Amino acid sequence: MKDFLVMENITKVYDNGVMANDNVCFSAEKGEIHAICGENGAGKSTLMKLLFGVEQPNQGRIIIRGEEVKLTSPLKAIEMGIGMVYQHFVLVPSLTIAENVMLGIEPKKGILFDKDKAVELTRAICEKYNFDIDPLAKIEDISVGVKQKVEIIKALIRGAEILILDEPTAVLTPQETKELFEQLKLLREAGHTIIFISHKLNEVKYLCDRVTIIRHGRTMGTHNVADVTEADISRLMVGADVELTISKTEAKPKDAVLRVKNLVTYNELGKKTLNGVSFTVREGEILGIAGVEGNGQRALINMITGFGEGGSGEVSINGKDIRSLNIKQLRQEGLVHVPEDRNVMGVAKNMSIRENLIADKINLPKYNKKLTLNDDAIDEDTQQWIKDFDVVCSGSEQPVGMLSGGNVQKVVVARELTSYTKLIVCDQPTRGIDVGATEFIRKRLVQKRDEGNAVLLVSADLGEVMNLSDKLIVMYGGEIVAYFPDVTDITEEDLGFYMLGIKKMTAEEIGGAYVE
Amino acid sequence: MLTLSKAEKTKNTKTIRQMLDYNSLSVKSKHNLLRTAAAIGIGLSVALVLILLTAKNPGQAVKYFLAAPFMSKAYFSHLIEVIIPLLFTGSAVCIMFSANQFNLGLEGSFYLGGLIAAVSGIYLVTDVPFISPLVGILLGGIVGAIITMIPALLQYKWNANVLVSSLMMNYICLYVGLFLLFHYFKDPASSQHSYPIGDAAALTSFFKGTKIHSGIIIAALVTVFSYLLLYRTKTGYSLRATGQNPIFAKYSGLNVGALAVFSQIIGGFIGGMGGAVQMLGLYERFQWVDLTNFGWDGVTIAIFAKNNPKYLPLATLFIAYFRTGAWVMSFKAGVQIDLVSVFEGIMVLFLLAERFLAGTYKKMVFEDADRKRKEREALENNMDKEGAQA
Ligand SMILES: Nc1ncnc2c1ncn2[C@@H]1O[C@H](COP(=O)(O)OP(=O)(O)OP(=O)(O)O)[C@@H](O)[C@H]1O
Ligand SMILES: [Mg+2]
Repeated sequence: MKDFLVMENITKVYDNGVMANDNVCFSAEKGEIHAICGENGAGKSTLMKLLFGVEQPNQGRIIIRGEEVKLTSPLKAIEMGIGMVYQHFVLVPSLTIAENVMLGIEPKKGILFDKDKAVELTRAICEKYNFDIDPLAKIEDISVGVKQKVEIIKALIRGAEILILDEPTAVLTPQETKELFEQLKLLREAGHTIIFISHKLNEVKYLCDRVTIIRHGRTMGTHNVADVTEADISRLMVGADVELTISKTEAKPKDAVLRVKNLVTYNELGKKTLNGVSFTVREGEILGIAGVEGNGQRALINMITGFGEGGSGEVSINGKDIRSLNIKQLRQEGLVHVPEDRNVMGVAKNMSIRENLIADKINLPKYNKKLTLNDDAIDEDTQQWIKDFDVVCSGSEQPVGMLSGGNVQKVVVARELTSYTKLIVCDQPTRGIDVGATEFIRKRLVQKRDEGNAVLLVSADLGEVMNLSDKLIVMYGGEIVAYFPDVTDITEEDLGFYMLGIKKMTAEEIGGAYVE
Repeated sequence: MLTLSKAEKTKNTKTIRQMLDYNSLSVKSKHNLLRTAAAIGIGLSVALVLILLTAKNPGQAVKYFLAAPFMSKAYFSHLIEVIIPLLFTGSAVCIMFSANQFNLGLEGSFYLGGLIAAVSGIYLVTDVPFISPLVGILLGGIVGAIITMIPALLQYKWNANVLVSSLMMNYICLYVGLFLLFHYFKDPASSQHSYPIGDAAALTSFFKGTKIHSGIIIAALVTVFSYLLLYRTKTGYSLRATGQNPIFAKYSGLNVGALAVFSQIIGGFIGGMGGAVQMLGLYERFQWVDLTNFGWDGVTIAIFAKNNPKYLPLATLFIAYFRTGAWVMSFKAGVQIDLVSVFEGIMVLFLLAERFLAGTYKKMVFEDADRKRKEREALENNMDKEGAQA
């Protein structure tokens, strides 16, 4: 169909004066999977927000099925058959899948919610599109991958023919990613159009038909995926060649920095979140933790970073019991922490980039005169860090809330890695970060390791864990189910089995993770 | 393999980035001015319409409302009198609200701060120049700090809602004050006045025939101090970080609970000082039988100043100006003084309304960015031409 979806000469200026889209032209056809690639802050999410009616363009036209439309709100967009799956799911944990799917469009029996009808409708749509899920399961009990499916179903049941997925695979295991891709291919066959944003170019290459590249808010053209290589795409994104491999020498571990022994913790409901976890991280090595989200990683990281309470077992840093230290003291011991959710913990959105970069260093003598802050010193260093970590912004006074997702992450990583470090705890350090910046951050981590830091790395990105880690543990159900002292000869598939709880190593093998 | 065109190569990342360096702060401040002016305009128009509708002699009334402070020394003096307490409570609220602590106990702090200063001037240090007022003001500050600290600690220890407990605190303060006044300090010769405050304890007046007193200097110093504290020190930074995102603040290693309490202690101290200054500057005897309302005014003022003490002088001047006008108008032209609350209320509403004039703003920003885009494109064309020639 001609003019199925056309965005023509779109310009969008945000309230802070940033021109996020500059004369962007984009079009997608019925029944294709169309990727959008670009560096952090290029304007991908912005373009999609315009298409979903979350933001309105200053200039330009949007044409759907041959007709120009004004998308003034997401409701309008949904009416036009557009659906969007955000990276942060918007589901009610205490309700069932069917109830979530029907939220806002509930089938009624008289004035009451017709539960059976809801389940029936949900089941029907699952069958139609071959989704293997149980409509009666509660959201709080299902995995991230299933949650994402629920979001897709939510969009489909509202009649979405155009489906926008903004970095959908960032949180998935390889198996889940594979499943998602099969699903998306089925949808394509059924005539749906899928717009797919990802920083993982291999996924783009594998899944998509065409790719549109955006650089600094402008379209750099649309290509058939078959005609371009990954290197081509990244070159078009960046405007220069990008080195994609990271070289790493062998680790030379020394003394233990972090020790965790027989750690058991409980959540507010008294349910066990960690069940006898033991391991060590030494100076000069990177320990990776692989696992599907929600298998105890959160509780573990909380305990190590000073946010945990109660429980039994030992956790120590530099030989000191962590529970006797507050966060300030932990940081003085050299703990830095890239948190999983940058928006909740990692930044104060209304404060400037400069103020966010200096948060953990505000008490250092270097940044203080007798009574007041030493603004010159702060300016000098923060400007430098913004440059070093390539934060795309309009200046150090820009509020962090106005940065693109990846650039917020860069601010967090920049702050943490420029502090005094001994133990670096990274929870999804490169989530949402583009290829170039990802490599930069990974190199910095390896460099930090070589300088004698202990690094604990949690990541849903298996490529990352396997690439970076010297040793690897897999967590499932609050326990360590596998320990690999050497990462070189494991495959993603292997890991997947442990991550999904299908396989488990012997206690002896796992015990190797803890060194006296 | 695809290759980049020549033009694309020249437009390399760096230069484009620099060109993308939009900075529309000027647009923002322009728009802020516009917004504030519009809010004032609307507020004023409503006030004027009300005056025209109710006054017997509208022309006279409007004249007093708009120009009173310039019409006599006494009126100008009144303007300054209104500014002084507002600077204190405004500063106090700025500090507490910056830390996101909605402690409304300033009424109590101000009231008891005034009372203790009077007590000090009547009984404790009655006749040492300089020292007497100093002691009074410090005691006022301490009592004020205790008043806001109690709800703060209740919140810290037991998570009691500070908004509710601080409001109750105000009434406790009032009744304690009244009890003390009527049982201990009241001059039997008077119905509700205390014994006289020692002459040496009073703050000196500057100009003969006006009531402008040295409290204005203390108020100015407190305002400057509040600004420096919040925006130029690590403590202020920590307070603001706590206010913006407590989880982030905790994660950064700040002691969030202590900072929250601290902001309220400082706020209460300043509020109490304000009460003391007000008492020692304007009164010969303690005679407050009701809360003064300056605590609430502090909230209004802080909203005008966006919680930044830097804007307090302007905000207080503005409010004081029209309050003086309304006050003069009330006894010269018989128009009710309440009018000015309507006026202030309308402006606060408009200033708080995020979306007020948002459309115009979007337009202004876009035009600015569009202009820059054209400049940039011209630059790029030039670069291309030069590239072609080379
Ligand atoms: N709400 C906002 N207010 C102001 N500026 C914004 C806002 N959201 C995004 N921007 C700016 O617009 C530009 C594009 O942001 P956008 O989120 O579209 O990038 P992106 O391509 O999705 O990047 P990422 O890969 O990091 O997610 C960035 O420079 C960002 O700073
Ligand atoms: Mg994005």
